Amino acid sequence: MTYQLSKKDFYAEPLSKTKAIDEEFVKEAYLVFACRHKFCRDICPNFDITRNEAHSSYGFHTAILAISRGVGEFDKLIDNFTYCLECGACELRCPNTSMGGDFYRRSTTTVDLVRKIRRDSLADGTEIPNWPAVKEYLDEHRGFVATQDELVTRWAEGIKIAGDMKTALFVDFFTATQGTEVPRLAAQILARLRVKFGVYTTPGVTAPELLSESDEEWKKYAGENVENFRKLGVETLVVVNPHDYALFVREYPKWFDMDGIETVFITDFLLGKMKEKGVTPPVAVEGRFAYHDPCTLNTLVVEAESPRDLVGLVPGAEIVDVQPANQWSYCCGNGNGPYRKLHPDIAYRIGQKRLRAAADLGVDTLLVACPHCKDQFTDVKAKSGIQVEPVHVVELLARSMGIEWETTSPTIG
Amino acid sequence: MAEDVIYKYGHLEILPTRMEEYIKQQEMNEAERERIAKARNMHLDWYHRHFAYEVLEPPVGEWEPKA
Amino acid sequence: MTTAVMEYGAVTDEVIDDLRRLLGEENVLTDLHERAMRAYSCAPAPLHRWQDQTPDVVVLPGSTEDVVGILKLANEKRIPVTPRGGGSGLADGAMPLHRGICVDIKRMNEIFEIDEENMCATVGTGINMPKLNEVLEPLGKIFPDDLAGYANAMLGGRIGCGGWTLIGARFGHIPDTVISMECVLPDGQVIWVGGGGTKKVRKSSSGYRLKDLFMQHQGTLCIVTRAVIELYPKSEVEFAGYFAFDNWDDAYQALYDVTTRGFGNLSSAMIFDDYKIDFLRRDDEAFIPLGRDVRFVVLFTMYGLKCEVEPAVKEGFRIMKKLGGRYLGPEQGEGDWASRHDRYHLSYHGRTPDGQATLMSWHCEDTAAYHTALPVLREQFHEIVGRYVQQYPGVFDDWGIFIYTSNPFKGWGDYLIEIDVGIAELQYNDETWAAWIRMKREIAQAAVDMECSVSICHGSCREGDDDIAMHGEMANGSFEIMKKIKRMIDPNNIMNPGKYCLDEAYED
Repeated sequence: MTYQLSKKDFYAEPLSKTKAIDEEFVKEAYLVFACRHKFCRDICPNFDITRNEAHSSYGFHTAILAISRGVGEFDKLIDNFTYCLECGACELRCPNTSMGGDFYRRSTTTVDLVRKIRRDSLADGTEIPNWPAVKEYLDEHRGFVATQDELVTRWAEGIKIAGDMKTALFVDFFTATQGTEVPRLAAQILARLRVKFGVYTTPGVTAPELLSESDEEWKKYAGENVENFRKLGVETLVVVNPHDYALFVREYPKWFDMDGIETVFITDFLLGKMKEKGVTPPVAVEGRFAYHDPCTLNTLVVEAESPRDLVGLVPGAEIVDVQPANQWSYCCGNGNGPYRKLHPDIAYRIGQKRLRAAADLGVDTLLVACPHCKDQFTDVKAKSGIQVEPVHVVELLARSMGIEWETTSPTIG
Repeated sequence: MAEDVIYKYGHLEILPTRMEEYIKQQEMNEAERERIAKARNMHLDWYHRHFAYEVLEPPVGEWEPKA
Repeated sequence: MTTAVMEYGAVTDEVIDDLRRLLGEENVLTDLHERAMRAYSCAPAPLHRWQDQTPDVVVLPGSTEDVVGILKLANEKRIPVTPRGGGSGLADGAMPLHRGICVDIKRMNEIFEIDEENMCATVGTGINMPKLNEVLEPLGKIFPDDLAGYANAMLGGRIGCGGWTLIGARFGHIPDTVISMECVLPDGQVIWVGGGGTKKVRKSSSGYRLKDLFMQHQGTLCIVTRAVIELYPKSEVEFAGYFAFDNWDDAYQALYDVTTRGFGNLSSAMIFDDYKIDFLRRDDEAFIPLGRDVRFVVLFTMYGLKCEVEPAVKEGFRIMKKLGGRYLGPEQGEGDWASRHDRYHLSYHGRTPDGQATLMSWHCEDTAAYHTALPVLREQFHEIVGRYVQQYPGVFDDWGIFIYTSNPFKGWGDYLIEIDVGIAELQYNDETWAAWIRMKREIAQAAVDMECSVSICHGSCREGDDDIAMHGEMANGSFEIMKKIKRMIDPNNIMNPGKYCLDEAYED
């Protein structure tokens, strides 16, 4: 993993209903409008359901261009900008990025644009429909920060973790409270492998939703993290939630010096250690599995391999699903931000479509690598009745290592 | 090339002086450029698979692979 | 220019309420920016008069019944209707000339039936081809509609413009691959049209071939809501061979020889001319850079069974090499062919005269030409565009010429010759837009003077093309018949009025 820096300084300039669209932004909007092809629209999992082309990278950029030409109003924009999963598929699919971004060092950055428009609209006093649900979630995070010593490590009950912080497991609020099987099983696997690590206990508010409300507040928590990493001597940061992993890889380098701190996603770390130690999982788990590439790994950081490779280590397990590039247009429906809270009905339909696609492969298990995907698919399965169970790849690996998640494991360190 | 370009880190890129007046470059490191190139290749592979099962190699003797 | 003065009804609050009752509130869009983004398609956009093209309301029907309701209402109130598919057509079919109601068909994307045994499928016209082909993939089938906008075009728009495809020499174009269609007429009547009177039979001798009438009408006769389409077996193999030539004469001869050889699997053949090669060299970062000795490139592609394509490819190599063509290698061929939809129209490709990268939009000005017209048109197109580039530096740019096979199921005869013009649309004003229209007219006139068609790709209903197409190319009596048909089917002229100069049908 290497930090991926992509930053446009002119995004710092707020847009507002009270002033004209800045010339740099006119060009930014025209860059996407000029293409005309709208590949970005049809790769978008949200557009796939709503069929409204306003809900696409093309739509977002064209709306801004239209407003700059006096055809539209800035404070009417925000509803459209709630229809973005922040998955980054449109950015990859945009020819300006795909065919020219590296040559010209200028690419399409729709996720940053969407977050910016939401922030600027809120700062303008424009109300975002359904935003109270997002605020409630963020306030829960903020409250958690005050009590985090206890909550952040409750998932580790019964597991004695005694390594130092050179290798630190980063467990965010969501995973620590709702996706506990992932860090718990990962810790037990690492114990089995005799890998020493510590747990970082003050993660702060890491939810990407915060970037749609206040980048200053997000930077405050992030800055505290970096400062703490340095104080604790963290050299390798192992992140269990790919939402956080994508933030570390793509947002942190915009603002902070990350030299000397290597950020690794949990499946990469486990895969690396299994290979380093020459360990093959002993228990066969026979089966054909569908696999859902999380957008954060697949289309944001474009590192989709390690979860699939991890499944490849499990004797008897076979992934029968389509390849990562085919999944650029897939989504669980949760999104990489506040989408599921802003549009729960469409989120459900997106997830339902994905789960049905898995069912059509004739499997009863959909492997995932993201606790948000698992949470969303669990919800969709319950509501839809589609008999496909979401299982995290770490759970599969643990099963193959002979570990069940209720059990305790030897002391680490 | 029709224009002068830079060749750095194994990749071609535009002369930065061509992006100073009208459309400017953004801050972008090599890892980001590699991410874009990797995604492009994934996309091109997808295109081939989408339209046919196999891409035929050129006839024997018509092309020497690079050493 | 018509003397007809069309008087239309307004989109009042009452009309919007009626539409909401019919379609549901969420499918009737009135916010200005949502309407504004449906003002344009893929053609050059007069950004300086955006309001003029902005529809008064956008509706998203979900069914044929919805479309019937919309058209009945529009017909009764005499409100103009502009159908919109992918919004990526080069012909400007989706650009409203009289505002009114934009009927955005994207919700009608259902796959109703896949009939594997009879090799056809029935789909809603809001379907997007890659999505359709993802469903067909496990069945080993494909709908081979391969155009630049493949990733985002919708079947309805493809029918509306009589869509051309890159691999038409093997698989046919949209008029060949659509078997029959369900059309909603302006008065709300629903009809099915095909080769005869059936839905799945391709070739019949019964009655008039009404499918052809309702093909490439640019939304001026009806809205197509469903279609039965051909399914092909997905090809075993694909091959794209790119060959460098250092002179036009040999490249032109190579194109002729490979397309007239009689191959059964030839899917396309193309020439990139010297201006196009220089243009691509601006940012050939993704692929092997083309050396200075490469002035023209001729490519041929083949799709099909390996046992057929393999020997055919060998013969193709023999033809190219005999004329001095140098094979550019598999990386060039595979990379460039796979990126054929993506890489030729980057917004950064524009250059000012002093070499600064600038933002320009790609616009294809093409002509449907026969083989012997190609050398003449090639020179004329560059001369025309070159003058405007000189006169308006930084506004227009010559992005070179492509020549593609165009005859359905055959490589010979018809070609699409397009000159790509980079346009800095942010610099459009009345003067530069008028200059663009003059350039367009000259290009269209050059085609008609050679007894070629104004277009196979960008259509003939754009300002600058339409009067030359209708009063020049179609002056053989065809335009008169078009007007009669238009008046008969659409007496109130609500269907995409102003396109194809068809307002003239109402001059009395």
